[in-house]
Amino acid sequence: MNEQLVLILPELVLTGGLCLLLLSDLILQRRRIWETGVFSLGLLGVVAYLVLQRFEASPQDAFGGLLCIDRFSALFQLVISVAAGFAIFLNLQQYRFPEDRGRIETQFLFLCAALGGFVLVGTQHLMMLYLGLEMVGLCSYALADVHKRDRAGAEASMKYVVYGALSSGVMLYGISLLFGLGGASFAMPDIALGINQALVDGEAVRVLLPSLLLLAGFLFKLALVPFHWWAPDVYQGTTIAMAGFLAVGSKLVAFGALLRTLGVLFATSLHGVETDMDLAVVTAAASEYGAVFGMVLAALATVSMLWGNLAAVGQTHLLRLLAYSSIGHAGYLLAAIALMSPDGFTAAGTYALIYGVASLGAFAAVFAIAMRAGSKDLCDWAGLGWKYPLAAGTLVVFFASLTGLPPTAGFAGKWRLLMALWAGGAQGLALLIALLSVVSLFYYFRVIKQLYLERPEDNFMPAVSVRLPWLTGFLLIVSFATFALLNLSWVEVPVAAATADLIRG
Amino acid sequence: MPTADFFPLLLAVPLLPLGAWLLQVLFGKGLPRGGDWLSTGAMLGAFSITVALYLRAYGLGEEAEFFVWSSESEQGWKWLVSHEGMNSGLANFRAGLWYDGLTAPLLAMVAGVSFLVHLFSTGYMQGNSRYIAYFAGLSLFSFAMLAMLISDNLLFVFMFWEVMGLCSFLLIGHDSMDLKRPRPRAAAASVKAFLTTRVGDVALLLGLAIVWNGFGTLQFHELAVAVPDMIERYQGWPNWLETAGLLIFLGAVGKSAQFPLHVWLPDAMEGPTPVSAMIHAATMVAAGVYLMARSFPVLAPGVLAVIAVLGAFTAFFAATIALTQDDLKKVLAYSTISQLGYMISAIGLGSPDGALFHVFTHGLFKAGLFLGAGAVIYACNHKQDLRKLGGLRGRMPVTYVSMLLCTAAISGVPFLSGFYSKDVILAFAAQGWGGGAGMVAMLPLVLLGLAAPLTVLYMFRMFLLTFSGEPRSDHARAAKEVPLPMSLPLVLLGFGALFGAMLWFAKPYPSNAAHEVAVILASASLALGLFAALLFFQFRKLDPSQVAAALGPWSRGARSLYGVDGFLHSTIVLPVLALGRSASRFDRRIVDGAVHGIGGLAVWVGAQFRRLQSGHIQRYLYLTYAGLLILILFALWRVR
Repeated sequence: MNEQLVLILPELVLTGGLCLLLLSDLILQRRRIWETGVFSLGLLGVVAYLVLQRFEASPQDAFGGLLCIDRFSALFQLVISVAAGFAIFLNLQQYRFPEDRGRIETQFLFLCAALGGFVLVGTQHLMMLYLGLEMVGLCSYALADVHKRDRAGAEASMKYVVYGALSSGVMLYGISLLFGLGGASFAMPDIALGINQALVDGEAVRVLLPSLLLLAGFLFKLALVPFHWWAPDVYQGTTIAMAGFLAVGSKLVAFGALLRTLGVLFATSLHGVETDMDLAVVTAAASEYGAVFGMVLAALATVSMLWGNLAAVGQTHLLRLLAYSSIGHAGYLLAAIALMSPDGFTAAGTYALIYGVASLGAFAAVFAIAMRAGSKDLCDWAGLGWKYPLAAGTLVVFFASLTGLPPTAGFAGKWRLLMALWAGGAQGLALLIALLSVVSLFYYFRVIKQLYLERPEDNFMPAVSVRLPWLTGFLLIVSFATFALLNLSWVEVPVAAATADLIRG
Repeated sequence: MPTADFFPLLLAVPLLPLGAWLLQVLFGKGLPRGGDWLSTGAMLGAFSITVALYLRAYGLGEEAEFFVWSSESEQGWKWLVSHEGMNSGLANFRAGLWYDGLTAPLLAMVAGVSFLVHLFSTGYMQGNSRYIAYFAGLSLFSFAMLAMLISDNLLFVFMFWEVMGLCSFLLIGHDSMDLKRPRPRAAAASVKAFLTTRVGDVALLLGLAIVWNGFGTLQFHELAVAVPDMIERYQGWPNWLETAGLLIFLGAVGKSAQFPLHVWLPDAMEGPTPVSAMIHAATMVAAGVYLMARSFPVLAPGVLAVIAVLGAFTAFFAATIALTQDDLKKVLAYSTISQLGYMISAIGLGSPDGALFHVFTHGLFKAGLFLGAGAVIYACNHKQDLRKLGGLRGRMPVTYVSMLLCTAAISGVPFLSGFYSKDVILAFAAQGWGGGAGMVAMLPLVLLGLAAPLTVLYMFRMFLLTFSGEPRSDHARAAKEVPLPMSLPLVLLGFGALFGAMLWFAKPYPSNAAHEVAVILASASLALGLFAALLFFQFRKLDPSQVAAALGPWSRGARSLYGVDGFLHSTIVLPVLALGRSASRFDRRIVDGAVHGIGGLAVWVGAQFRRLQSGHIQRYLYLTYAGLLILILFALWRVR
């Protein structure tokens, strides 16, 4: 038992730390938001360091397969740590503005959501998966309106809860069906065997229906059509820090979990695992089914990327715009997953990380401008690029990366994605992504145009002038990373290693 | 050679001027003296590094490729490299640094000349209304050239080549935006320079694309050993290698101002004189020769023949024009074209080392000549007409001595730097290309041999008209020696003209017989040219105008630049403009219409999507379940 506990040391440290944080709120006489913030960030740093150690060790299971300790989970656990740290950091920045006094619960909830993410990507067990998903979800519902300040926040939180409940119910139904399919087991490898048996018996519908229902939970978290409706409303209503967490942390961790689920459940169609059945028969059935499932995913991806990018075109609210664009990006990711091949998984993972970096930067830069300008509406942003040169300048970099323009990492990521799609026979999707990049250029650079080329209206005066040195430093570092990651191998090699662990069988 | 500590030093060489440029662009207005000390200091730093590297390299002697920092070693940059399975297409492009026996002296020369030009400019440009912009442009220019010299692949060479094109545009047109005396002609000249070189650049890019397709690499060391075994890849197009070579050469024709794209270089004299020194000696025009030297391994024999003849022709052709020019800077401009002809011809004759050797020595003495001309112009209150100068020997002794050394060097006086490098080229010309004989093989020798005495003649004409005799205007009479920041570069470059040839490691001569021919030819042309120049312009025994009259149409042709400018204007510029106008009409009416139509469609569809986003959670749930149902039905339909 002892060595099992050592295996999950990062999770234990995180749990202990967040309990301490919660206790400190009771014990401390007055609110010490900065001290606890530094503690939370430090805690995440330590956890991230411990997670890094998992890259060195060989993959293994803890607690009889409830948790998998491998490079794949480590990669996405790092991502969620960074995203949670980012959100806490941005929240601390928010307290510099007079109307916000801050709550320690916010930090606690972000840490808790991170812990949920750790479970979510680190399991091959459907019940644990569901628990992780709900843990991230419940924290997010609370975080969407943690300030309890205005009706928009309450509305956002309400919608998110109702929507989450809906998709969670659908997913749970799917899990229950899979439970039966796997011979009364939640372990994904068992279910994979059951799926193979069903496919060989020619009962593809018995597999298809539950897997689509299971997919619903992921679609919700990834904000993919038709489970995307909550995204614009919630992004608009909640804080920018929370929106950033939703767009990067919760989205990428769900993406990781989706990769693992597909990778294990449909392992046969991906690379052919050993079974006691006739391998040729199983492989034939599985790859036939995999093609159909891939087609469903490709259809979802197509609709999502069209929907996200086109709806973003006329959008003037910055966070709604980012919400729609993140729907589009999730569509790109799903397009690569739909290849149902290791190369597609690697390409999607690479793109996801590069998207994550640029997206973090974009949310931070939008925060730096919007908070000081006192408006998240594009119409009020005219000429602000000259007033906040650093935030606006770095925003150009991040938007360029999200568009996929050459000197930034976004170009490399999109290039890798398109190459994978092209090589995988999805030329139509590749062309569509290239076309939609042009569309995205339009709506991203409309913001830039507004920042630099339009004259400010005379009657609009930015409300607060607050210096944000830490945020400025953060923006500079992330924009540097956005350029540095043009060296694709820095991202792709770890992702490829992680996906290799994923399909170890 | 321990390469690991070379890397940061070598990288610092271009990054120093780049940093100076960035700081000046951002904070130039806040710095004392507009930050000229910043860019000059950065260049001094870069120069010191190159000298240190040079000295280390010198110890290793003539082993030409003693140090290659390619991306083979792990410290290069990889661009769009995938770890597996993506070995086709544009994947796996690698870039690294390159430093060898040819780079070492060239890099030091370029950094040194750039530094001296910066230093000279602190005096020459004093009081200019756009002082900061000037120095920023100069720094960026130096950065691009230095970065190009240490790139290990043709793509990076091309990128920095383009940066140089931009910088030359900015600097040639510098005076057009002068607040006190704007010069519209400078703007026209900068546009002409930009567009003319652009013609070559487009060809170059196409050439590089073909090379990439054929060899799968753009790295020098891989091209040097690559075998064009990809011919089957171009079924029905056996001449792709020749085509690529010609296209690349066309790029050099534009950049290095070879006939018929030489027309931009004389006009570029509209820029400030130190900029001319920069363009003619250290950067821009040398880039074309450098490109040809580096892409030499992929040039087919037929292409080499074209290069040799066209270069030699340009050398002769420009020399005859230089004889007829009355503008001090124009004479130097045509002399540059002529000397570039020598270098380009050397490439065609199979001696890229010789060509770069001449780039090196020419860089030193041509920088001296241009800065000297700048000093004369500065001293004579911006008068540069040879007919208005004269008698400056006593008034500007430092400039006089420096210009004399440089003029002697370009003329090929024995034991001065120009003598050695020109000697190599003439020797290769005497050998003929491919060792063949016959009229055509000897054509470069004839043309280059004719150009040699002409060079002496026009250079000493310029020199004597400027410095000897009596002053022919009040401005010349009032001239004084220039201040130290301007005279110091002249002195140093004078030394460079004197000893420059010793700094070059490798002096590759062909056979002894050819070498003897070259030495005899060079000495004879020097004697002949010098004799004629002294006769015409020092002792005034002969009247140049009578000779010109005797030559009749030829003289008139040279004076009118052989009508190349007018010919290009009527046959290329005007038709292109007409084509552009009709293309613009097509673009506005049809292409824009289509684009606006599609854009409008996207906006409309997006608006419909957003209308569904009503904000009512009940409707969201309906739509979601409907979507899920459709999805399941779709999947069921596919699985059957």
